[in-house]
Amino acid sequence: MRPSAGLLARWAGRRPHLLLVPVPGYPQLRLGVEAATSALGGVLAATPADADLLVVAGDPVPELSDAIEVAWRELPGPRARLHVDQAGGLHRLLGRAVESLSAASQRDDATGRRDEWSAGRDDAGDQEMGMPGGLPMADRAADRDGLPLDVLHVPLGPVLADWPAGLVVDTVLQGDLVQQAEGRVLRAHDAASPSQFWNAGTAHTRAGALDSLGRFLAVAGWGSAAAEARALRDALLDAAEITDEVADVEQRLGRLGRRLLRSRTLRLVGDGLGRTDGGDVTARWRAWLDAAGSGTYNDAAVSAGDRLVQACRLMVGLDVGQARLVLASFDPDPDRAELPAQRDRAGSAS
Amino acid sequence: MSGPADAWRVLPVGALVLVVAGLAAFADAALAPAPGRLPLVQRLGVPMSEAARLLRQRRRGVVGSDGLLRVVGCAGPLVVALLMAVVVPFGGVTGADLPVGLVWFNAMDVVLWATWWLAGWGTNSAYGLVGGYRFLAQAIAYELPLMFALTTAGIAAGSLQTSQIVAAQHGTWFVVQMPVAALVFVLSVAAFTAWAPFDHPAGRDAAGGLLAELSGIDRLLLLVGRYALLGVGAAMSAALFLGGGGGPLLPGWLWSTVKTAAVLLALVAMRHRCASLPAERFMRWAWLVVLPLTVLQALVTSVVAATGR
Repeated sequence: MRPSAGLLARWAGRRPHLLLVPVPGYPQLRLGVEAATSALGGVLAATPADADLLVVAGDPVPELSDAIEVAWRELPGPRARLHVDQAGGLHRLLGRAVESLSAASQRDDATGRRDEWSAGRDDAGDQEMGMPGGLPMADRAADRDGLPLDVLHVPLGPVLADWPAGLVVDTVLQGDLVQQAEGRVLRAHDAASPSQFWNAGTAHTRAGALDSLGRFLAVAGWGSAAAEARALRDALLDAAEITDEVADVEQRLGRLGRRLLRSRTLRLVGDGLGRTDGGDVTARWRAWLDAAGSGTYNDAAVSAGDRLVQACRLMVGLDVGQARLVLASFDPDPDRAELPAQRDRAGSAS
Repeated sequence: MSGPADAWRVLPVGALVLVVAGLAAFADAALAPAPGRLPLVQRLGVPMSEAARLLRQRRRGVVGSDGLLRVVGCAGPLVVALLMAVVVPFGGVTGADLPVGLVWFNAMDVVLWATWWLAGWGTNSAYGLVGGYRFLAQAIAYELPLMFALTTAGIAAGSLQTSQIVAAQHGTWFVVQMPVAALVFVLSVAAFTAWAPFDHPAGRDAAGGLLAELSGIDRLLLLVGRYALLGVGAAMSAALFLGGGGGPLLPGWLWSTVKTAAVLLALVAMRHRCASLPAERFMRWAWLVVLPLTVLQALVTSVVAATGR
């Protein structure tokens, strides 16, 4: 290796970007990978194009595996992948994967690829029937103003940042407007029943609410508040074992709550959006905040499946950003309550 | 006035833009939020690590993407930042002191409409496309208030030449005379840079939007361009509203540096203090509140300028 390449590798290795694919049924693995990532000084990537490492947390079903393969082909390289199936030794595993990014084998990986990155492949790809890259052109249909506009079929998930594990919402988009939305869940290979991780006591219930709140804040584009919610989530789970940290956690939780309730931008983003009988997006994230403090939900009876149906119904007619905010405010995490079996139609709207 | 003999000045301006972009990136890393924060020394290494990562990463070429337009889109923000910087007075010196410097700055900002859109559209990705749409919507909200803010500074100085505008602030800074225009200009800098809270075009909810499919040198160019725009915007704010290089005791270039750094730090710090604002949420504000206010500000300034002369 040339000295300059060594220097580059040393610097690059200090900030690995991970694409984390959580599998439903393994929330503790996801939390473990998130903690190990920040311990390494790394960050979670938003897309495969921005990632060095692909980390799968759990044992996925075939359809989820297929999605993971597609994502793997989109990692630019140097790249490495890691399958995590137990929470122990994650820091060491990830560290070794980061080191492998600078290994000589990366050259073989780069030259041996048989995908869009293959050596000598033209940017435009194959030309077939005059279509760029042999891809079919998008269909057109009338939009809400009656003008013809391209129709794109875009599945949201299952490999998407700040998105519940294993969830897929099949959407039909015109521009950035959601015209149809239908949700389903890709379950874990061996999960007959959903994980009971978040139901293992009050601390876990509160941590679960903070997990949802963190995801919502990340989708709302407030990274630092999301990071604080997640840090508090981890602290609560740790404090379930170590009691002298509890007072500090409560204080920080109070501060985060006041910060969120004071925020004008958050109000502007959520007020009046996705309104149901139970309130709008703002009301729902406040419910997560309340549950994070008290450990009890007002709407405990509403299952994740019902939340998904409601969210999908409300997503229609919104743009992608609003639709994701609405979904995140319901947070139909398959690990948090019973959902219909895989491939079942969980939500339908048109 | 500048002639062809002064063309060499563009070179140091280019170097300065890169320095400012670097400073913005380091400031951004240093002001990272508290949870999971690294020690300061390590945090200052983050921009180096990110650049090293991207330098050795391969470029992503999505099937069917438009190579030329993508390159134009990725390199665009940095080029626009350079073109803006030539008319920014810095400590009594201006790269190219055009008689219509203010109009030039505005024209370059409009070029950004095209480059951000092309960066999103050229990658042939749904998320990139969504990011492009979002920027255009945002541009419709911020562009007119920005134009009126620039106009107001021009009216008060009686000139479109940026050096004249700095000279006109000998007595009082324009931020005192026209606070609304100054505030609107600084917020518009965040908006045309797609910086928080106006970073919805590159939002996490759209998997990075404009940035979704970019990797390697493409992504590096776009991110450097974004920091450069932020820095140049801060320098222009200092020149137009904070008296440029004017101030007691210290030399002009130092005053310009201090003022630019102050605006830049304020812009960078904003990033971790608010949620991302979608255009459709602040469009009503921009047109019904901010735009009339900037027009009123221009009117008041015009009356003062006409009667004072």
